[in-house]
Amino acid sequence: MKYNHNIYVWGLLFLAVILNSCEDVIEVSTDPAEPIIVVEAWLDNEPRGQTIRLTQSQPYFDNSLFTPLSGASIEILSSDGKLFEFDELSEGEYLWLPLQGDSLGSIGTSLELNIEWDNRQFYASTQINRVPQIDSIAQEFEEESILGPEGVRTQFYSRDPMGTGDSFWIKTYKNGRFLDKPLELNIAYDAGFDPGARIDGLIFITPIRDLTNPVANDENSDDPPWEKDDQIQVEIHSISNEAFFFLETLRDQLSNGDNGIFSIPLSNPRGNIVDLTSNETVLGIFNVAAISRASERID
Amino acid sequence: MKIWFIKSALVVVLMCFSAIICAQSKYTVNGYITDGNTGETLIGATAYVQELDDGNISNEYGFYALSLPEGSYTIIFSYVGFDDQIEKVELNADIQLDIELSLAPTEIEEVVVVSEADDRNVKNVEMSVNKLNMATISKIPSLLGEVEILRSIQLLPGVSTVGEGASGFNVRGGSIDQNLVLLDEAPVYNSSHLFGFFSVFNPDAVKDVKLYKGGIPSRYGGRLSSILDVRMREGNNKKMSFNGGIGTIFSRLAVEGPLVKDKASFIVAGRRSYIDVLAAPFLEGDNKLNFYDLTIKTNYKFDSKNQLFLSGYLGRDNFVFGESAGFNWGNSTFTLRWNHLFNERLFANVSAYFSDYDYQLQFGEDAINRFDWDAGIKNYSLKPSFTYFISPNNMLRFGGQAIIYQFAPGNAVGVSVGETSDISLDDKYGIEGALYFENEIDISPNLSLNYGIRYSLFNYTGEGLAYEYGQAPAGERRPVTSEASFDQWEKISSASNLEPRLSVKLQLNESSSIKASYNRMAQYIHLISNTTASTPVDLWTPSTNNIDPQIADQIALGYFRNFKDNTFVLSLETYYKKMQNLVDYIDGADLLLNEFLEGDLLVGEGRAYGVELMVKKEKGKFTGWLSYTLASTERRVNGINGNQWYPSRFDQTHNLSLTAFYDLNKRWSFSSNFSFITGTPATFPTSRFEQLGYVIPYNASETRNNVRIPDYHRFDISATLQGKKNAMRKWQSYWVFSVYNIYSRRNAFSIFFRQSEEIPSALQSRSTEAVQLSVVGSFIPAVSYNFKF
Repeated sequence: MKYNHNIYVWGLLFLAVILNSCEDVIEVSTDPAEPIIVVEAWLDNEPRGQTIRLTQSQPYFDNSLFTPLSGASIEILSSDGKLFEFDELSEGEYLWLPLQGDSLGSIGTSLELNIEWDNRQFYASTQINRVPQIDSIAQEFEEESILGPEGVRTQFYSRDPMGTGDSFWIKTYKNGRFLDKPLELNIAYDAGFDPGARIDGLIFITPIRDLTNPVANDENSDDPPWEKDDQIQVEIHSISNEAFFFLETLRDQLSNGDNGIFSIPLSNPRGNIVDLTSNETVLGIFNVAAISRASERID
Repeated sequence: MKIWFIKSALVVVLMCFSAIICAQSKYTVNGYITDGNTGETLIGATAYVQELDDGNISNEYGFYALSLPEGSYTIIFSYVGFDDQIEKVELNADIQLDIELSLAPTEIEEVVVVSEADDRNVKNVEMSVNKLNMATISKIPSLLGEVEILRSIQLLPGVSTVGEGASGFNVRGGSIDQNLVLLDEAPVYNSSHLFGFFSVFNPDAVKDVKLYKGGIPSRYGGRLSSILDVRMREGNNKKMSFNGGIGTIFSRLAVEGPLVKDKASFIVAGRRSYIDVLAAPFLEGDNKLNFYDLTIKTNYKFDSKNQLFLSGYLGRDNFVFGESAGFNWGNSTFTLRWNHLFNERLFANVSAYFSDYDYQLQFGEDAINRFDWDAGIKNYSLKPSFTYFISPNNMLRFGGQAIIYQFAPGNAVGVSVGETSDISLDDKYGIEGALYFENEIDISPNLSLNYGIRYSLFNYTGEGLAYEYGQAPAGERRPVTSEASFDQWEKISSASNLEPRLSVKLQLNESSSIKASYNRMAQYIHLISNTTASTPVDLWTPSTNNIDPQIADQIALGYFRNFKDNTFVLSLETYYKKMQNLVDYIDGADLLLNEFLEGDLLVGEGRAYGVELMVKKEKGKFTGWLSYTLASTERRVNGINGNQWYPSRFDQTHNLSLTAFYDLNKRWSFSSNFSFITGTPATFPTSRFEQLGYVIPYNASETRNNVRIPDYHRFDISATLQGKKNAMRKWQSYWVFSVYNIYSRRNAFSIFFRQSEEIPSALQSRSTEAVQLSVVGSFIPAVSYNFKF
């Protein structure tokens, strides 16, 4: 289980005061490395356009745009016997547009992704998993606490379906904008944090329910998470276990700086794409989510 | 191995017999050596027989024994900082001779770097051992002016830490769980307050600190890399006295005195932080942040043959943030010891102890939405040990130990909208047993040996579920394949080890010797920790059907020399240590509240080698030491770093410290410390890739610890001002002024990587940066006032 590290952040804050602990941005050099193919195929089964991106990795401090990979042929084959062909809409972006009401499948459909690029063949498979409905989004005025400044805080209520092995990505939108900070990344394995916790068939546990609130840019900010008339939308995406572990590693790595002296070792997120031609590493995830959603106006 | 064992057992038996037979016409003089001023027993005081040019030293309880042929002898009792006491004895029967040494008046103000005989460095068979007394420790410039035992031992060769403020210490390439930290024989499972900045040992209550890094005698076992033996004071048995102090972090008060004159004494020492008081302006609401500890000890001397000691420790760190979160952790230990003299030459000590480390975490808004979690380790042990003083140059020790462990990996209950989910893990149980035998013998005036063997055994027992795991690609989570249920104390798995130990000393001349040692150590419990510094929630777990005991073999070779009438003491050692079955972790391992933790563990091996130099100046107004270590410590784990050797996170090539003390006059004394340490290794990403708008660091070479953070160096000073001494005045006091990190270097603890919040422009991707974390960001001045009356 990943514990709530807020508790350390507060403890370390005292040290910062007494010992003048500090963080300095520094120049370091990193080892050169060959670019690696990256597939970004986070799709859903809604009747709308689905986009797959093909890029490649670049040196860690290089913040130019990621190089798009053009000229690939991409298709998805479903266990319903359907073939979905993706067309290159712009460089490195491949789109499938459904006909009226069509989608990649329904709960239980298995899907295979085949990509051919530069005489190389990439492959991945996944399944559309079940997703629970959201019962409600609650809002409550709260005093200032370790969780944040005073103001309205929200929670979503939903129950994990019985049976272990479900994983979910809970995405929250504030006034239509996705909360995309690493600390706002909210994932669940059954109703809890991870498989070892064995929390199954319950209402999602508190820290997960509560992660529907924006995290302030500045730790000491007094801005409330929500204000009157803000619009909150919560979506639960069903994801594969591979996608869950990928997001878990991604979140832990991107928020590692908040762990202070308790940082964890650097680890690479493992994807589910394989290179059938050369067996070289391909990064990224192919996932097709089913989505449930609810929204509410803050009053 | 078996034949070897039988052979050595035979040799031992023969030696004992011959010793006993030879000993028949001998008489014994024995007794306790104490500080005449306070009645505290002196550990390691010398009883030297002039006629034989040989002698013995007092043991951990201040007891000495000399078995000599009938005759008249001159015995000189000595201990550094005390006047020698010369006793003439006519030995025609066994006699008991208790010695009270008086403080040497000329040396009261001087720092004594080692509290043992001047030439012990050269003459004793022990090697890879460092001893620090409290007078020295309290003069070392310290962080925030707090006298610190664990930070002081980091100034010795072979001892390091992963970074400032990290919990625990690393000895000769061992991880922090490979140190057996003993407080009056009870193990302390987490020796830190405030994550790692201060240790749990109250300097007012500590008498003696001894660190074994190698050549570990067979009476010690259970950890791979070191034994830190901290002995508490018994308390003044002559008169009541109080001492205490007000520092930046702690206020301390200790009371000690006789309960029954010359028969029983006690000491009670307490400390409490007032960091919360200082931090109050920065906090709002009902918040608490404090830590405290209480150390107590008492003893009763029934007669000259029986003495009982009772000691205890209780400490806690508390963090409470209003109603929404709380976190506390702490140790408690309790030791009961009985010293018994079976006869003039057979000294026995039986210890029974209890030790506990636990923590509690609470989160929650109200009764129907909360999360409570506690976990810990408890153990009970009985440890009889015997010392048989055959002759001044032959001593036999034997004994055993039994330990019952109870591991609580987590009792956790979450309440979500009134719906309770209990995700507690079952407690785990283990029984550890050991038998040992050890003989310290002078084969000739120049050649001494300490050899022995320890047999250790561990049973992992029910009740509970035990799992078997299948295969997975190297470095990935292994799936559970089957489970089995066990009853209370039913054996699930078991492991045992024979641990041979040997130290040899060859005296080259009066002022120099060479020594060599070998030890094998086995360790049956493991600290599960994957963070740079260990956190208070890290848990101990037993060896199981899936986790083998850790094993280490170490050889060390050393040259020891004293110069100028023991004014300068030099030791130069080199060692090689090989470790097996070290625990490591898969990427993204879940270490807490994970029923299937064992599936997330990897097994590796380790090797460490190095050269350690220590030069001490022990006499005069100017004293101190230079410590330098050149070392390498590496790990190899299937599934990490392409299965190749890589430097461990605490590998430091160079580690130098120079500690100096200068006594200006009776009132002022000064000290300083300079440290230089090679930057520790870290893993940097090589590449970045994008997914869902997140910029993800990626290490394409899959190497571990492929770069080093900047080198560490620091200079500290401190000055001590003694209050005016007046024979009429009972109140004595001194001030300590110190500045830590005087040139305000921002030493790197670690370097981490982060993505920026905003995307700079449509023509760029998110930028990323490397950030250096410095725990101490500037110079830290501190002042403390200490008193005694």
